[in-house]
Amino acid sequence: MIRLNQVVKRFEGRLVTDHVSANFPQGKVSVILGGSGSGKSTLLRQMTGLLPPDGGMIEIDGQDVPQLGRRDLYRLRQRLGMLFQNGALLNAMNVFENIAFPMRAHTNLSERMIRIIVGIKLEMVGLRGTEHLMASELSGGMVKRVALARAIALDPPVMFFDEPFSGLDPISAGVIEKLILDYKKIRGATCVVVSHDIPSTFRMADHIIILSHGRVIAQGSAQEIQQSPHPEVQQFIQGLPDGPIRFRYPAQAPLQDDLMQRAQRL
Amino acid sequence: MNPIERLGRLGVRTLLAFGDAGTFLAETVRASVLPPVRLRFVIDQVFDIGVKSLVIIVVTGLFTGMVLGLQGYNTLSKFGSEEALGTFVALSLIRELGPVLGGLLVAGRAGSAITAEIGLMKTTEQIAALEVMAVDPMGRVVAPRWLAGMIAVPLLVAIFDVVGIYGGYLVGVDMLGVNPGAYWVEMEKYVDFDEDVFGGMVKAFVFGLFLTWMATHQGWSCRPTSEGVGQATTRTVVISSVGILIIDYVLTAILM
Repeated sequence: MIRLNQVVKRFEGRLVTDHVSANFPQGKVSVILGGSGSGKSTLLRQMTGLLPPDGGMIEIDGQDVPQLGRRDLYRLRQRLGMLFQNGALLNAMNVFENIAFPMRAHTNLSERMIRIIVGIKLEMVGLRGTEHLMASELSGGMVKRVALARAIALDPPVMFFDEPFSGLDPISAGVIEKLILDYKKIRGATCVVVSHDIPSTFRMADHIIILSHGRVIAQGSAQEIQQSPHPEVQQFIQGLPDGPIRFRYPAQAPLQDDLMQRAQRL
Repeated sequence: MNPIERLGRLGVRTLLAFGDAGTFLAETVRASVLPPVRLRFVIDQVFDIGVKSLVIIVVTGLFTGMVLGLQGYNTLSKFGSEEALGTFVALSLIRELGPVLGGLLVAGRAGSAITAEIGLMKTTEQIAALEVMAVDPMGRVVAPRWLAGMIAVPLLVAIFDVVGIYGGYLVGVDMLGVNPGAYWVEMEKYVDFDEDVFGGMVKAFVFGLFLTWMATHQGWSCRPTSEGVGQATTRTVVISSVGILIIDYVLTAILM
């Protein structure tokens, strides 16, 4: 179980996480939805301890993440997995070494066993046979699938996914969506997915949290979110440009615009 | 903002930068001395910093020694002291030119590469990925490079000195006719191991420590954009080069 209570984060005085409180149920897929710049990834980074919040509590399995010392935080992280938005594969290593990396760092498994596990993980993401390739030789979709194989190498009970479908073709996106659901089902893992992809969210989410300008504006099941009367929620899930969520940059009205005034003078 | 406020802001920024670099060094020392010992990564980095800089060190060392041979002969022959050429070349290289030029060359070649590599790792979230995988990036990425710098730079400087002395011999003895026995005997008589050779190695060690500290810190603290990495790489070369010259003066004053 992951619990957030009144989490606050500011960048140069600007609130990017505005007193966020939310629960992420154990063994379920929770999706944090929101537009670009709504504070989704910042929230995820705070949950993994990469970014300290300015206030509030972030609890994973009863441990308050911001209060943990380095040793305890690293111990907790051995039970977390994270798929980064751009994969974040270690460039100096090939595919095999990247997936073997967490096992070599935290287990005493023999090289033979590591080889077998890497093979299984690569099979799961459909990339068996790519062990020798360097990260620079992979396509964007392949990088993400290898990164997913690395994230689940130690079978962590808590998984974080930062924009797992962005920049992927429909087949790769479908494979990753199925893997997230299978991983939850087989491992019983708590999965937290940051996304702005509405169709996949409604297909796989047990719990949805919608962020806007760093605030939670709605949370609940897919059905509850779809039936929500909140205008921001409806604007977001229907993808409408006009509504309470500002889409246009706040410029002067076109006729007051300096350029337009000059044009009129001509 | 008036000039006094501007000066105050500059002072605060400078102090913050020093504080940040100092904290980073303390973190690097912590990661270097605490287990796990990452000997293999240190060896890999000694290869990257040391072996890959070998060609540039040998070529520069050879020509520096040859220039010293020419200049030294030209001056010494006016006083009829050509036999002191070996001493002149060796002392110039061992005390000053070897450590300083060696340090500057490594700062330009390996220092900039270290900054770019760490900066790119930061930009592509590889540093964050190490953190999330519960692997201390200071211990895995920074400490091996810092330790390797302190090992590789003195070795490179020693090679620079030896090749330079041979360059001086080529010009002085083979081309200009200085007595080969006098070249080596005078050098042996006047070059003191404790004062000259050890002093030169101390300088090389400190330069290695300083330039890898600057290179890793600039990479670590750069803005995570391609422009940020480029600027950090330039800063590494500038700060390391100027710093080496300043430290050289201080160390020379202390060691004399």
